Parts: sequence; structure tokens; C-alpha cells
Amino acid sequence: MIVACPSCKAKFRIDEGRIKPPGVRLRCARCQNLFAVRKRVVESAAPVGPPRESVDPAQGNAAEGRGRILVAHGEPVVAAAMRGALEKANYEVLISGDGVDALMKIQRERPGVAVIDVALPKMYGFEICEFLKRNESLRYVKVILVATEHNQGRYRRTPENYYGADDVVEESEIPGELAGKVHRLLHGGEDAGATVEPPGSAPGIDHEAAAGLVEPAAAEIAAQPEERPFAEPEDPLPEPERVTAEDDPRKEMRERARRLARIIVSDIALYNPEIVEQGLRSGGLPALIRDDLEEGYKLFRSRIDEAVAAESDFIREALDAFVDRKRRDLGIPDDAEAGTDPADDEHAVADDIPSAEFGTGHDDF
Amino acid sequence: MSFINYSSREINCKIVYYGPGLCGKTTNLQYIYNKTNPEAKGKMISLATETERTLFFDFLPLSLGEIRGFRTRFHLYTVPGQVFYDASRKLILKGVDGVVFVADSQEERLEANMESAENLRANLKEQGYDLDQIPYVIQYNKRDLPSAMPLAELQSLINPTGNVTEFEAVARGGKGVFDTLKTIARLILIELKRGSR
Repeated sequence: MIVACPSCKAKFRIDEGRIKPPGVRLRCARCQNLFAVRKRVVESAAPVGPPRESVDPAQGNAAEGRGRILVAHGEPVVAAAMRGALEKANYEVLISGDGVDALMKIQRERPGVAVIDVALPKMYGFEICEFLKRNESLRYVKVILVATEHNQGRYRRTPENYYGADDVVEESEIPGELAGKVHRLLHGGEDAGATVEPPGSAPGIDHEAAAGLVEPAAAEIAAQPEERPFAEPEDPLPEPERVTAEDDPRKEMRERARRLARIIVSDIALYNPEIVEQGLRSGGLPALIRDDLEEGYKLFRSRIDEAVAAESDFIREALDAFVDRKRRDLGIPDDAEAGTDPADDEHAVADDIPSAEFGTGHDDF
Repeated sequence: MSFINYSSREINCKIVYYGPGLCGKTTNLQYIYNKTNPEAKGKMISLATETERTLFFDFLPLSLGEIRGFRTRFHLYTVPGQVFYDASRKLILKGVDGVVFVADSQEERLEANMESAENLRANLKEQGYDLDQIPYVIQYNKRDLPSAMPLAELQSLINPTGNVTEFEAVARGGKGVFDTLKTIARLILIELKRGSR
């Protein structure tokens, strides 16, 4: 089977036999991103409620429930807001308050679109979404996941990672955007799936290919017909990672160093989102986060064996991978000199770190 | 280690919310604080540096039940989650009676969760505690975000033995917050009644 890194989109061919239940985690050889892969599922789990006749996915349920929308949310106020927005646009709206009920209603009522809160009681919205997209007879149901509004842009998933959902709406967007998103999913349109690539953009391929792969990363791969000769991956197939599979102590320490470096970079980015974005767009990120990097190097050297730490500039490597990934996410062209300013030598920065231990000023706590 | 205040007839216990940066530790405490009877709680103290990092702790005493005529007062603390602030975490862990590990369910923070969990175990060990022996609860927070990892996968990495009581939570909305608190409080009370410490 073919899997794609959800971060950098690099595709790899992997022997399905190597994927043991419940799945394996792979590290992308290109961008070092960790992602989960599960074996394709031919038959989905037993559906809740009585089985229904199969519906031709190509036809969807156009005749039956095209204008029927299921709205599922644990908070009645939000559900009412969604109902209001959709009824105003002349849709027939069904309401559900939990995941199990929502799934039963989807099977029974055959709505054209299901608008589902990701944190539904009893069964999460993304679990329903995955279930629907794996189930041949229900795959035609377009899914819009309702996400809690969150202002941490760095956490938004890349579109193909929304559990195979067709679109996503944040709660604050419901009054203004929900009806339009539903309309675009039902009737097509350039903007269908403003944040998620619409599976319908490649008629005849999308839903067929979307079958089976549980992991959202598979959404993009799924757009490739299985029989089509696949371009050779640009990078070698990464070995499935097993947490305890390290035999060589040095190798284990090296991996620990890499992980710590990634966490340091991740933490710096987490607490400095504006500066990081500015650095990515304008260039010279290392200079902008110089003080944090100094702290990072200090911490790194205090935790990692000297010999291993000397093997490579792990933090710089983690930063480079982070910059590559974020630039892709933000759509910054490759020719921009963002992120890794060659004039800024972090080794020099690291070597210049004052020797005082962090935290000594906190003893009166 | 809990301490007994005989004049006020109170047993004071310390609960520490541990976890990676921005996982929701402070959000847990804020929710608890806002939903707690004003007469039962002290003042919440939040200390942050000029860079807006939570450096020290949030402090929230509240009363829950009695043991042999002594009221129990729980002091809730958060640690700074950023990987840098290990010295502060060690200080805050001193005298701990129970730990809540708040995991960030997002895939992007998986490694930070694992690092923080390992760091918790190591820091406790330094102070003579065994994480497997003290009251300990795991909370998988941010379950409302689409980027939340499947629960089974988180469990296999953060609670591999399955022996630790765990809850799913959306701390912003309060889901799972009091379940977590009540469980850690109950585990601490059981320990106190055993008189094992």
C-alpha cells in the first residue's frame, strides 16, 4: 500500500504485512514527521442499527436526502444555532445530541450532509467520520466536522488530516459560513471545502479510493487509483518505528537527542507563534528566537551525553525540519530565504551560552 | 507529604498538575476555581514572567470532606510545562501528595507528552517518590480538537500498563475536569486513611 506523510506529502510504498494491529508509527524520511498508519480495512466495523441496502456511492442519496442535513452537537445551544443557519437556507434539519444517535440517524435518514461536533458524547465526531468514510454504503454522506474555536493557529491540522472529513467549521463560523459550506458540498463549487480538499474534486476517483484507510493521512493517497503505477518515492521507505526496538545504546541515545531537540523547537514555536511566523515569512528565524535557542542548547547539553551531542547539531536539524514543514503549511515558496539564515551560526550561539544554571533564581519559591 | 494544621483542624494536601507546555493544566485549575464555592477556596495566584510564560504555580486551596474530624484542604498547583523549566518543576513537586498528568491529545504534541511523563517520573524519583506508588491520574485533554489522536494510541504510550485511572477531557468546557480532580482527591484520601505515609 502507499502512504503519504501528512506533513510534507512525501509518498512511500509499504508492505501491508509489516503493519501489525492496531497500526504502526512511521517517521517520514524527508521531514522527520511522525505519523500513524493502519492497515486498510476492506469491511468496516458492524454498523450501529439495522443494515440498510447499499446505496450507489456514485449517485449518493441525491433522491433521498440531498436537502436533508443531520446536525449533531452535545450542546443544544450550538445545535440550535446550526439548525437556524441551515433552515434559513431551506434545508431540512435533523438534530442529534450524541454520537451513537447521530450514527443511527445517518443510517436511517440518509442525510446528504452530516455536520458533526468533533467532541460528541458517546462517540466522537471524528470516529463517526472515519466510520462513514470507510463504509461503502455511507461514504457518500458529506461530513463537516465542527471544531471548537481555537486561536492557536499552529495547531490547525493540514486539510487532508481532518479524519477524511469534507470540511471543517469552527463554532464561531456557524452563522456566517455553515450554510455556504453545506451548499458547496452538495452542489459543488470552487470553494467547496475551504479548509479541506473536497473529495468530490476528482469525480469517480475520490470515494472509491477513499475506502479503507483509517488514517487521515491516507486521504491524499486515496486519490490515487491503486492500479496506477506509482512514481518511485523520492525518499526511501522509512522503517516502522518501535519505541522499544533500539538495540544499540548509542542509537537509542541519538534518537533521544533528536526527540529532545524536536521538543525544544516545538516548545519555542508553541510559546512564540507570532515571532516564528514572522521569521518564517521574512527570513532569519534563528536570529529572532536566538535567546530561546540559547536556552535550548543549554538544556540539550545538560541532558544529552556529550559524545552523542557532538555528533551533530541536533537542534539545528530539528529547526530546519520544522521550518521546512511550516513553510509548506503556510504556503511560503521554497525560494524564500525564510527560517534558516545562513549568516546565523547557531553553533556559535550555542558555544557562547553563559554557564549559569537556569533556575537558580527560583530557590525562594 | 500532607501536613496537619491542628489549630485549624485541617489536613493539607498538595496536588500537582503536570504535563507539557500549553496542554491545559492552568485551564483545568481555572475551571475548578470558577466552579468552586467562593467560601471554600483561597486566592488563585498565577505567576508569569514578562514573556507570559506560567513560571511558577497557580494556587487553589479548596475543602473536600473530612477525616477523623479534620477537614481536608487541597492545594492545587501547576508546573511550567515548557521543557526548559525543569528546576521549577522539581521545586513544585516537593511535598506532593498526588499528581494529575495532563496530556495534550494532539499528535503534534505526542513527543512532548512522552518527554513530560518521563520527566515527571525522573523528578519524582529524585525526591524519593515512585510514580507507580503515589496517587496518580492521567487526563487526555483537548479531545475536542480535530487533531486529537485516537485514545488507544495515546494510552499505549502514556499509560502502557493501563493501571492508571484516566479521563478524557475538554478542559475549556469543563468536560472531565472534576472527574479528574475527584479521582485524584479520592486516591489521596485513601492514602491518608491508610496512614501509610
